[in-house]
Amino acid sequence: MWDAGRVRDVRDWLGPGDLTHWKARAIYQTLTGLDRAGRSVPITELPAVIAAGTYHDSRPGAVTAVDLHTYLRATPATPAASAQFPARLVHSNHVVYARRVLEAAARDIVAAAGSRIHAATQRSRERPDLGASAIQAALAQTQQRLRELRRRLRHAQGPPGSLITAALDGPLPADAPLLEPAGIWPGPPGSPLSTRVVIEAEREVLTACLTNPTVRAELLEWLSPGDFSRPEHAATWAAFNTLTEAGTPLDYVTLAWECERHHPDYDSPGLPPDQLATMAAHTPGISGPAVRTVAHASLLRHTDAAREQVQVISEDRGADALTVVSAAEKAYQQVAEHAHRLSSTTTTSAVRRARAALEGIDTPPGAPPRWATPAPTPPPTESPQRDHWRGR
Amino acid sequence: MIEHGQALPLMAGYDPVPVRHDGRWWHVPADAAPQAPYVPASLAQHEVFDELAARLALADAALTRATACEGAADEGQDRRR
Repeated sequence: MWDAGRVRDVRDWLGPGDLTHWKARAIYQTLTGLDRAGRSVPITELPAVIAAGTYHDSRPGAVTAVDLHTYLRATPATPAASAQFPARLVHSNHVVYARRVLEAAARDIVAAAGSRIHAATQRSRERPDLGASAIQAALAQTQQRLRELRRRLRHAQGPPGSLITAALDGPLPADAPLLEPAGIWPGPPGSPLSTRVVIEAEREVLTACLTNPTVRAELLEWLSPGDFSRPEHAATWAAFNTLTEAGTPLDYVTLAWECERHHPDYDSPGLPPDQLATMAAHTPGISGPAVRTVAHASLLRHTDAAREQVQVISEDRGADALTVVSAAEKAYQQVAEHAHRLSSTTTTSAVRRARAALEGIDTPPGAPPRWATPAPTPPPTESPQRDHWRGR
Repeated sequence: MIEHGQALPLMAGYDPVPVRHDGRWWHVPADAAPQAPYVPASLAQHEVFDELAARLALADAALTRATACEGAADEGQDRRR
């Protein structure tokens, strides 16, 4: 509707029947009909043309100016977005959207023809477990204790479970050097890591990545879907990854489609389109504490999972002591790898670079990060109607 | 066969999905058992899949053109900066 000429890019392969919702279909039929008739109609007169019903098969007058306004407001890369960010070249993703609409229609057509069609499982992800009880320092000490235990086991007697329990709970050997935690966090998370704090931090990170490509590029390098506590957040993050790897233009529309594709893998369709639309309307920004909270909470979950795993291993009375200790060491080694990734200097430098890019400033290497207060969030604008979405 | 390029799926990212092999469409019937094998599509299904495949090919070509145009526009904008 913003540029009627765009319909020529898609009309040869996208039919009106591919659009599920009758309002969208009526608008598309009108736009293609006008173009074929060689008529050019200003957008202000479009409601009257659609209401006349000359070019579509829906009831005349059923599509109102309010409907058109809703569609225009809900579409990314509109002139409004261009006015908001005048320095940026605003692209239209209409071909990308049309391709997705066709794909959705093709799925239905194939199914209607009596054939089976399923989204392929694209990847699996590690499932974060619940709870948190230890962090990196404890992890380092645990690994030390296990190494010490392995040394002593060669001479010890008793069931492996009791030996492991004693080793993990007892004091460190006097001659063992104390390992410092990586401690790269610029500071502890601003508030206790309650479930709500973690969820809000995850949403803030997702919002920042949706609204700012620079932030997204930086954070995608080190956060994985398993770092998010909620399945819908993990699925959304996986969708970010997939779209970026495929080089697909990323906005809340393409993200919502990709989330839908990940449904079989993540036990969640990701965040729903209306929530993504609301997030997309936020001012681009990134908060350091939010990023740290996500990483911190992820580490806690992984550590807790390893602790539970060790508990199970230690209760296995059929295994010999050295085997059990080796398995325990392996469990904590996996946590150590997560900890290394999440607490590496990349964590802070990535966000620092993202903030610098956002604010147009150069941050010298090694300079302490300056965590600004998150940008004020404007009230969300009208989100798209859910019935615009196939299958939602 | 899909992995080795001997069969062409109607759409990437789906499994099962109708595939074209040796000039014929093969598919898993919707009412078949979970691990049922591919069977030749009927004549009516051939027409449906052919039409869809042609439209999807046009769409992919349009998408490639759009992406190329966007890349060129980005490059031009960077040069102006």
